Amino acid sequence: MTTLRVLTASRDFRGWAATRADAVVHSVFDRSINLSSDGRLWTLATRDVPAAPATAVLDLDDAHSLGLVPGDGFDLARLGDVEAVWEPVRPTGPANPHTVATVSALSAHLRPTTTGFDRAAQIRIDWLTADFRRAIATHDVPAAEAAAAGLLGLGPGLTPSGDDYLAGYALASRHFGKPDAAELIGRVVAAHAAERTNEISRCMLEHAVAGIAAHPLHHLLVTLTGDDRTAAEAAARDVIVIGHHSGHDLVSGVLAALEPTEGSR
Amino acid sequence: MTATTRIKKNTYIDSVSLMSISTKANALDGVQQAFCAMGTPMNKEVLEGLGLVNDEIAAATPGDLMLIALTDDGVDAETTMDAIEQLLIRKPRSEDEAESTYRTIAQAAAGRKDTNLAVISVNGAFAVNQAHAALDAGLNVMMFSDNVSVDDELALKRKAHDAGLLMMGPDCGTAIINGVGLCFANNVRRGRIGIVGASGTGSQELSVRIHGFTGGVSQLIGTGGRDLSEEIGGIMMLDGIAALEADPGTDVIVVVSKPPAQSVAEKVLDALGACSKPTVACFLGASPELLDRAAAKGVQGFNRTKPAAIAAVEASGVDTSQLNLHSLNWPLIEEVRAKLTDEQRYIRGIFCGGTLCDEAMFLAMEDFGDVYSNLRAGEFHLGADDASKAHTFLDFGSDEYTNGKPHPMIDPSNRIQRFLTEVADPEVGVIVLDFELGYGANPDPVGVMLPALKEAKAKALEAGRHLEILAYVQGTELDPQGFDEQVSKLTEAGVTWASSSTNTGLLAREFVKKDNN
Repeated sequence: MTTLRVLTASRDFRGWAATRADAVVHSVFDRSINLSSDGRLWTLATRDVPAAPATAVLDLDDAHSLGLVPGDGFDLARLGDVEAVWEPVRPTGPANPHTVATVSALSAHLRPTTTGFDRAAQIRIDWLTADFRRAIATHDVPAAEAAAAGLLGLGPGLTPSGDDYLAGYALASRHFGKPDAAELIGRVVAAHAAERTNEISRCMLEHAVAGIAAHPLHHLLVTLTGDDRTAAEAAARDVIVIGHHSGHDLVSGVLAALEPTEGSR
Repeated sequence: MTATTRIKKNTYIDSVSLMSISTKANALDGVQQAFCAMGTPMNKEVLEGLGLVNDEIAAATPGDLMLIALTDDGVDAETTMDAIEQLLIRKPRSEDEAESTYRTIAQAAAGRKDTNLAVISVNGAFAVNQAHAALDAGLNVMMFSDNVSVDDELALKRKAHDAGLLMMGPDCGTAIINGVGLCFANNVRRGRIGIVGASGTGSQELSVRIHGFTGGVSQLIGTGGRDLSEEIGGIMMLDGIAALEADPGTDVIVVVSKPPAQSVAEKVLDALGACSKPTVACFLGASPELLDRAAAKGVQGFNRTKPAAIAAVEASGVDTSQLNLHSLNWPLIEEVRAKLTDEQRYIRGIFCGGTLCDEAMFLAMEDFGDVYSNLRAGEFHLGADDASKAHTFLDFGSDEYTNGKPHPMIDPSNRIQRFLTEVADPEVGVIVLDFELGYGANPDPVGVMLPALKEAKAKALEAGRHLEILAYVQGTELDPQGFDEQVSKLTEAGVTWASSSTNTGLLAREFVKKDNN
């Protein structure tokens, strides 16, 4: 049995892999394999995938080369020692409004092309995100929870657009002094995600509520605190290229969370 | 219309693949619309709003993938859905060494150590990162993408210059490197004349004219349209000149563009003048003063492509005295003049190629004061929605006409529409059209316009007037579209065709001249 070299892993992945013998393959993609264990998903990724929570980056080009299909068992003893532990970078100051504005302009310009279903879903997404932002700004918790629940599972993509938006919003809220908004999204996810969206997206949301996401998102948050707009644009592009709509939706959520609201804490 | 549904239980496909599947499904014959989405409650509500929910969709769970196809009546819906399902099946990587798929440019460069050039055509905002990655991996770059900022272009070209690499672009559509045509390029004879071009169709024109006058092209290096601006300073043009000076396969160096910014013109002419090889500068629309400055530095300067090509071919050792240099057909000019009424005094040029439009326009401007164009600024500028005025030259390849739509070389619909509008104007004496052959171009550029050409001739006849349509087919007999076949189609439709871009402009302006101008 060939040992798989683990280039980096998140701290939680390393802890989990040390205490488990095996897991079941949940899903297989070109650049990653999700393993299911005790209701959570853990990801094995190829070397060109950025570090992320619950993820080990292996010295592999193609995830399919492992020959795994959903339902297979995976022996965790195949994983070598973790060579480097990934710690997400975190912003240490407030967001710079001028830098945020620059990234907003870029994001609007790069809205992905859409199909007929996407356009129909987008109408609802626009309406619900507007409701959500208004409810957050006016501290209307029930309205915010209803809008967030409406966004769960809504839109195109493996991680639906609404989920990505909420994830971006929760992540930015957690890091920029708005824990209430992150907690609110967390409550909605805990109450509704199981029946409203798929496991992969639910796990992504749970991590975001806890303030952790893939490395490009953390890098974006850090650049948003500075005044290097070129670096912020480049960081935003690195997020926007995630998935097809996902990156754009994540950035939209981040930017929405950084809109000024009275009394936010 | 029939709606067909398939639910794939517990099927997870990444978003990029989902979008690709959706796009391909929508392109299948008989498919009006195809949707791929996860079976979440909210997505089902969206489908309910579209009237597409059935029992299968209602029973789908968030981990299921919903496939819905709306097909034309008479189409076998189940077979179509089978075809869509086939799109979900991942195909194994190709065993063919010539074709491999990599996720990143860095991986590609590492995996294929014999590659040395990346062609980038993604959205401009992403193209910059990819170009940096390519240069960092030691690859030369050709960037077809536009909408790249000046700062980004400057950073890329400085990086390439420092690394001794080519950074062709952004907005570079034409190159021929070591005999391989890239993006839009013609099949021309290999030879000893190297071209550095800041104009796509201008570079193509020089290459086909050189071929036509029995010369050959060693390399054609594109710089992108903005290279000779003050801000960029001609970095790639100068590096291209240096590369051709050092190239043992090049004996003559030709550059082509619109006139550079003044400071850049000096640098380019200095660089050409310092070359040990014969040099030719073709600056379309150049003033006599600029051409004199070229001559003073020992550079043959021209503001028309045909004489520039002839000079290059002669410098490479070809005896042009025995060649047909296609001088202007004066009997034809007299014949057309006689057919046009006094009212028919204007040229309307509706071009795909920007430089071809420029050349014809500049030639008209030599003799006429009332020349309008989307390429001109100030009082002679025409916007995309403006009607033509007097002599009008329009470049349908410009951003204001393409605006997210395919380039007219690929999809001529916009150009055909404008053409038919001009046909109806009784003041129009000649309509000028260009048709580009070669790699990347429409497989039958004349053919797709033929119905419109015939309609135009018929309408003019009905109105009791002669309509002169003057066409230029840019290509060689080696191009895949069949040069002779394209020209025959024009002749059969009663369209006059010119032998070069320069002659197109000269003929057009001569056709419409009256005794009083």
